Amino acid sequence: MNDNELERFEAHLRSVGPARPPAGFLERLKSETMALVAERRAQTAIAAPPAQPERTTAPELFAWSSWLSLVLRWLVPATAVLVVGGIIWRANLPVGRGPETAGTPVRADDVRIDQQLVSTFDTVELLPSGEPVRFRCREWMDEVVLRDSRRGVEVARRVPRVDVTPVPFETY
Amino acid sequence: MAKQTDWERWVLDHAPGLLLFARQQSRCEADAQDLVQEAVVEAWQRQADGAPPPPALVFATIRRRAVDWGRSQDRRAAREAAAHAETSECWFDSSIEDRDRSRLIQEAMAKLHENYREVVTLKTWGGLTFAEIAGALEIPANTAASRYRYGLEELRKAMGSKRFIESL
Repeated sequence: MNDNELERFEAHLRSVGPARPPAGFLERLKSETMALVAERRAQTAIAAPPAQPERTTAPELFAWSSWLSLVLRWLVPATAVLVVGGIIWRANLPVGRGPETAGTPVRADDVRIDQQLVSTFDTVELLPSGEPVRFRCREWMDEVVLRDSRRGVEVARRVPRVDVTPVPFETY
Repeated sequence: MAKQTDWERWVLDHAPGLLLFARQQSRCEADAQDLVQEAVVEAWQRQADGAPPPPALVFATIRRRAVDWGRSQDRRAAREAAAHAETSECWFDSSIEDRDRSRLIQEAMAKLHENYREVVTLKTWGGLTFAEIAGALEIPANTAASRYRYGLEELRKAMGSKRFIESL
């Protein structure tokens, strides 16, 4: 059958349409669909949502959770790798050059204590009873030097001190 | 949301083709009518906007439901019991001048292999494209097209080519 015959045959078939459905069936089908249309209208009226603030829809929530799970999936192993790397790096640091050296106390291997007499003088004061009292005053400079030769640190502290001693007159 | 008049028009336009296809899928008139009704309702409920469903979807639903029904032993037995009355329903328009031609086409269609009959019916009286037929029958579009051509040739042979050519 060539194309021309095929087209004529198709036209011939189409000219005979399908049988008209029984009236009872048509009515049943129409009433069924009408009932569904009415029901859908009622559901739409009831379910019509009032104006609400913007809410996250299910697809948005799904996209967000997908993104979050993707980040977490990479973040957890990346954090583990960083922690392990940090531990290894700290273990291989040269002694005394790590960040913890700033917090360790100075270990002094050389301590010098010195006292230097700056001046000395006597003075006489009167007690409320009128009795004279002599005082011998000495000004000292105390010095403490701590040295950590390993770290090359030297800490020096100088404190002035005054020593006052009463001296009885009888000693003279 | 579709108006009721749209639905009435849709039913009147498509019910004959749907029922023709359903009659071919089921061997009992009652089953055919139930198939159409349930398929229309199911396809309509799938429409989110409430508009009438595309005919291709209803045809596909009819076929799927017919297959499901065919798996039911009870329904199969009922169909077989009612098979003797299957020829009482005329598939095509049987007005006075077309009665012989309608009977001739129906007899030829009944002899046609099911694969061809489905495609010829959907294309000729369902108004579906080959792409829609492919979707409804879950076959490639090329297969649908080739089945249609072979189906027409078989149908013409069954109708008697000489008698048919003379009648054109």
